[in-house]
Order: sequence, then structure tokens, then C-alpha cells
Amino acid sequence: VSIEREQLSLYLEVIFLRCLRILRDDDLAQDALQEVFASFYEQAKEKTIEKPLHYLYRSSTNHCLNLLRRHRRMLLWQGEGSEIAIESSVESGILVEEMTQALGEEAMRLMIYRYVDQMTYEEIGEIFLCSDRAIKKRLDRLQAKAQEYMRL
Amino acid sequence: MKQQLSTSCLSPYLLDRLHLGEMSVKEQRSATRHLASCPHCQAQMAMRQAQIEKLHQMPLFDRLLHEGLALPSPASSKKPQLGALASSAERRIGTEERTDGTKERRSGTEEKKAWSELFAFPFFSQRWLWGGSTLVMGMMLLLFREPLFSALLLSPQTPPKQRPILSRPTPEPTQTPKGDMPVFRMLYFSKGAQHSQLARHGQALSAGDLIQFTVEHTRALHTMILSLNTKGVVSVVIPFEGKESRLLQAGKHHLPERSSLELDEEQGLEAYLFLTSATPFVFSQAKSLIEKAFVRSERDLLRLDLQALPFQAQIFLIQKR
Repeated sequence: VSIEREQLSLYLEVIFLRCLRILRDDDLAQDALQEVFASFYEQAKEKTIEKPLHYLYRSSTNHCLNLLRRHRRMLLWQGEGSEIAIESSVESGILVEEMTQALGEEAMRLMIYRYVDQMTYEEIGEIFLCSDRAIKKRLDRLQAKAQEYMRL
Repeated sequence: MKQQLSTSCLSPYLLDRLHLGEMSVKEQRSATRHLASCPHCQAQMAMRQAQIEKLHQMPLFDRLLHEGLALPSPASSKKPQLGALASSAERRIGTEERTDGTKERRSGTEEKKAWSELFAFPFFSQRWLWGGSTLVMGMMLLLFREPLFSALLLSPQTPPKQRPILSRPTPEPTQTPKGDMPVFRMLYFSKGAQHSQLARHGQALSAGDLIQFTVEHTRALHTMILSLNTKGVVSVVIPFEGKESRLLQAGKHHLPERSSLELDEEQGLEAYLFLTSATPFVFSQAKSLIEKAFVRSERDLLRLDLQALPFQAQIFLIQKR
């Protein structure tokens, strides 16, 4: 039994689960998984990827956002991250295409890490390579902007 | 906005890290303890497991897995830095790595090309610096010719290690062993599955599932694997045939070597205890110490602490159903 095979298998599982979490659709999650690992393997031919989970998280975020935009889907998340929504419903959601135009690409990525993956500021900072305080500031600004946008 | 979205439950990100075994021992223990008592997180885990099983049935999964395993070893595309001159020169000039792990001498033309790449620093493109640089290079060659040439040209006899496409997750500080702590892993094979999988801490397994362990360490160590159930019964798992620890040389070993063990039908939590020591020890000695530790932990496997034992001990929990 090869450990490398097992490790790769675990990464495939984790990224599939994550794509499902963002996309809420089996077929789209399969598409995303395929795209993410195609680019991952291309990178892996060139160099050893030091933090595969962070790399795969970044890549799957981008691919999933593209798919949500392309298919005009909502980005949904569960309860507690619903500060951005006007109503504090159990499930909150936004139409990605419109929100990206209003808030920018980076804002969407931050929202996924924070509200879908429920990562702490520190954990997001590790992926964005900046401090937890910087992430908090950015998210606070984003929250204000999003609420303003939603009231319009 | 709260710092932690959910104060007690595990976030999807933490569940992912737990799944990959990227948590520190402390984090993992706390997560497992929480999972054992939280119906919400147990439901999340069950849902994840169902989705994973669905993924395993997709042809895409096997295809991506095979594509990944067929990848050649990554080659560095960076130009060499001065500090890494000798090692990168060995890699670039003397030999070339094949995908099968052997090295091949390059042809003369390729070797010249590699040399020209090696010296492709901006420094060498400045003609006015050529006089000085030639002198410096000459002196370097005179000073280091023996070791340099032996390193560059004469040493490709030892086969290189195949580099994995994924680097192993860097252990967190609390996980970092002092010295050379062995790395144990558990693999399991469920009926009807296509291949075995790496068990995670807290993995749910069924009666009849086959298990095997791997251990990697950098020096010879006396090893024993024991199991401990919720009733406090300690049993020897490895070495199966005896009651004394088994000396394993440095490297990676599968335990058992050419077979696997079948899980019995007893249900509930079970701990596998990986014990290693520089000196030999016997089962009765380990058993007595573990039983005492179990009593100290108020007969709770989740609270079991083996740090006071005279061996290096690692705990791995499974849930038998």
C-alpha cells in the first residue's frame, strides 16, 4: 500500500467536499475537482508544493467562483456567518456575479473562507499571507460595503 | 463580528484538517473528544463520509488518482543560488533523474548547456567583470577541485529518492518531535472497497475490516503495538507471535509485513498504542503501566495520557461499529 496514494486520495476527498460546500451541486463539484487537480498536477510537475492544502483551497475557491458566476448560482452558507445578509436567516446567500461586480473578486474569496469554511481570521491570514488583524479589517470593511449594497 | 463563528463545533476547515491528519496531537485530541460528544458534528461527519463514498464511486476519482500517481518527480526550474551551488550543480550537470528513480549521465552537449545555465547569473553578463570573475573562478576551482569534481561527476552511483508530488504536511510545533520520533500510520481495507485507505484519528471501522500499520523512523527502535478497549483490556497486536518488543531497523516498515489483521466484532471505541524504545521491553511491563494510566484517566480512552511511560507512546483511536 502506498502512502502517497493514500495522501493524494485524502486531498481529493477534502477538495471534493469543499467544492460541494461552495457549489451545492454534485455535477459542478466534479467539474471543479477536475479543474483544480488538472492545474495542481501541472504545478506539481514544476515544483514541490509546500502547503498543498492552502494551494488547493486557493485554487478551488477560484474555480468554484468561476463556476458559480458562469451558472449564475447563489453562494450559500449556514447560519452564523449571516451578518452580511439583511435578514438573519438560517441560510444566507448572494448572487455571485452581481456581488463580484459590486465588491470585487478578493471580497468573494474572503467571504468563502470566512462564511463557508468558517475559518478564523488567523487561518485566513495564513492563506492570504497577512496578519489576522489585516484580515479582520478587510472583512469589517467588506461587511459594511455588503450591507450598504444589499440595502440599495 | 465574532472571532470564532462557532465556539465549540468544528468548522468545515478544521474537519478538513482533521481528515488530512494535519492537526497537532493536542488539537486532534480535542477535536476527537468534541466529536465523540457532539451530535451536530457527528451528523456532519456522517454526511461527509456519505459524500466521500459517493466520490469513490465516480470514475473521475480513480482517473484523477492515477493521473496524480503517474506524474514525474518535480524538477526545479529555479536558477541556482550561490549558496546552493554544489548541490544544484550535482543535480543539473552530472546527472539527470529518470522517472524510475535512477540517474542518467547527460550527453556532452546537454552538459555544456547545463553549465551555461549554471553560470547564467546577471554577474556574468557584465563584460567588465569578466577579468575579476575569471580569477575568482580559477581560485575556486583550485581550492575545491577534488570535492567539487567528485560531487559533480563521480558520485551518481547512489540512486536518488523519488520525490513525492505532495510534500508531507509540515508538523505544527506541538507535533514536532524532539529527536526522531517514529511516524505511525494505520491503513484499513473495507469489504467491497477497491483499495485500502489511510485511517484517521477517530475513524469508524466495521467488524471484518482489515488493518495494517506502517511505521517510519530514522534509527533502530524496539516497537510494540497494543490495543486498549473501553473495558481496560490491553492486548498485544504487534508482534503477534510474541510478548517481547520487536527490533525494527531504521526505515519504513509495514506491520504485519505481508498480511493484515481483521477487526473483531466487539463494538465501541478502541485505542491503538504505538510504543517504541531504544531498549527492549516486554508486554507484561507495558500492560501494567497502561492499565495504571487507564485508571488515572478515569477509564476514559479520550483522556488517556501515556506521557509518563518509560517508552515513546502514541495513541490512535478508532470507533468500531
